[in-house]
Amino acid sequence: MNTENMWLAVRAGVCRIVAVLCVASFYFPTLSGTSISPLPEGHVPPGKTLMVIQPHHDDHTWQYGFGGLIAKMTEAGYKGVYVRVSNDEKDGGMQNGWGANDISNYEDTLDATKNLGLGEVISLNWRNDHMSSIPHIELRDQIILLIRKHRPDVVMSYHPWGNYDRNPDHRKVSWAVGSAVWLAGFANVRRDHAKLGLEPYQVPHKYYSHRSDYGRGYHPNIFVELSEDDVARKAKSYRLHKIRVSAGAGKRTRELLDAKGLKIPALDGLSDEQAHERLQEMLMVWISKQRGQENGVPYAEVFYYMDEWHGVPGLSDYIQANVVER
Amino acid sequence: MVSSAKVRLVGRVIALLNASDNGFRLLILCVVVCLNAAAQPLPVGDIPAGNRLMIVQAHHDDHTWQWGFGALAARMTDEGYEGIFVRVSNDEKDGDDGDAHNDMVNLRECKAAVAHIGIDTVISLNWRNDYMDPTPLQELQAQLILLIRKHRPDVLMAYDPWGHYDRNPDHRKVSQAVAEAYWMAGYGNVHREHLKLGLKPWRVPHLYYTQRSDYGKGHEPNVAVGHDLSHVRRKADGMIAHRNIYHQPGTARAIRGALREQGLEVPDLAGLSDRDAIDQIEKWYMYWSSERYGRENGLDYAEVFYQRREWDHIPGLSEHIQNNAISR
Repeated sequence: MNTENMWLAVRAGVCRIVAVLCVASFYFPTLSGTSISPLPEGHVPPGKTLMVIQPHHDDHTWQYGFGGLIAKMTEAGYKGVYVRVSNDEKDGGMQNGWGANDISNYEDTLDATKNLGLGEVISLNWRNDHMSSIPHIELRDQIILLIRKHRPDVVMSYHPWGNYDRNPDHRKVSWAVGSAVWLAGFANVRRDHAKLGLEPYQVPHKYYSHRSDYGRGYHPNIFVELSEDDVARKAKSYRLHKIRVSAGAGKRTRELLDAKGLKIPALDGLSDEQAHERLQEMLMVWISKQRGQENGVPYAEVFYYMDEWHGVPGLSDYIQANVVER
Repeated sequence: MVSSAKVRLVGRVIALLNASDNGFRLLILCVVVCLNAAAQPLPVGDIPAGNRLMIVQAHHDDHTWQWGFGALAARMTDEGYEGIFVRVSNDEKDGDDGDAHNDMVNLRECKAAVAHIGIDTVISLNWRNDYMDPTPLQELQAQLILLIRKHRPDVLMAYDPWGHYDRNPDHRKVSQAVAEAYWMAGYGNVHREHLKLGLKPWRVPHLYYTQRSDYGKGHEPNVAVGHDLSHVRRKADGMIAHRNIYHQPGTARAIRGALREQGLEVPDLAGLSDRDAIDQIEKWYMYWSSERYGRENGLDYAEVFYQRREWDHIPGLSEHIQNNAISR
């Protein structure tokens, strides 16, 4: 083979390799770097009190909740408070009226949070699904007072900037939490609290979560590895909310599939309640595995996390680069 | 899943490679790899099964402009859908003939415009145009829940409530109310008084959001829906049917005057009156946006949307059904 032919052969070879990579990158986006990169791993921060502030009774444990992280923290010695902001009157049948739903969902919250190791539930009882019209400032001030009273090392809530959330309660509560965790540390905000003996308090660790299939807005920045036991406790807590194991979604899913001439064989022979429970369990494990797979561990949850130095931009990096043991 | 747009694009690239010498092949491959890294085509969506669509927009003309739903609605009505257009404002500010007159003219033209895309019902809620900041979200949401439960649409279309940079208070308020109503209408415990009127809860299976795509982040289309030239034409006809605001010769006069000062002209507009020239320019926008989205997604003509499908309300359910459901 002369030099010219060899050059042509090399060029053709390169062309083929590039062509294969090019075509493959259309079919497997990971090759063109568009897959999800693993996040940094988060660990349970030092501390002893955590506060979970969510609009509804069951928001802490569902697929995009904090159930696994709460279980990990209480195992590590944390004590916790769950703040339910709404009265959950819409979640349930109406045989006994809205009041009965409020009571039943509150009782389920006590059981579900106890299973995760939390010891107290505070209900603010704002009207469920009507939070568009409630004053942001009033809710924010209630949360500032709770933060100053309980002085949590960790606060968890929905992400105030998560897009596509249609739920007015989720939006209102997450905005109020976002403001309150900052303002609670400001002595000039609600100075009347000082007269009650409450001091300003800056929450060191904040975790936000949200449905991550809702588009932009919410960008998790850490993952936390869960054990099989953490996932099981989260799933059990979810099921302790009786409304979550009612037949509704399982029945409806099967009806819709049936109308299209389809079925899921694994649900054959199950009652609507059992089918619903099977689906919920499957989806809880599915999301924990999915997040794990994306981050190189068996099971995980992901969060937008702000550490104790987050208040001043760059401070965290500065401390990491410059701090030494005394 | 690999989209049909990708398959077509790969086919075109392979055909081009076969017809080129090695040096040129390398160049083509580099360009393709760069383009692939820069912009992935969206999955191509189809018309969902159903028979009723409802478009809820703030103003008389929001359905057909470049970032509207005109071609998608035209394609759906061609395939048997019946349509309802809900105009939330009274459009009193659009036009030069006084508030009340503008309201009446714009509503009349709205009916004519939606007829071009196959829709024959227009419901006007008549909230004050450009004054929707103080409109109570709760009240508008309740009106829309009632309309959804009454008409039970299979498809709902509106502006994307998360589209950034929208300066228009009416767009923001209406899109937020639609997003809430879409979800709450399916919830039996919300507005139980509707049940006493014989209405039942209704969960809309398919939702399409749109927004100006040059408004930055926030609106993130996840599907492209193709259409043909006849749909573009009907969308354009729908747009220029709003003659009270679009058929303005002054706009064409200003554009042509500015070009003339720079020693330029658009040959397509030569010899046309200012009225005909503005119609021509406005039609051009329509073809331009359909062609652009088509080109970006491997189709001839397309519109792009953020879509939620019937299983998307429960995270993971769609994937589970795709992997596990079989024919009965």
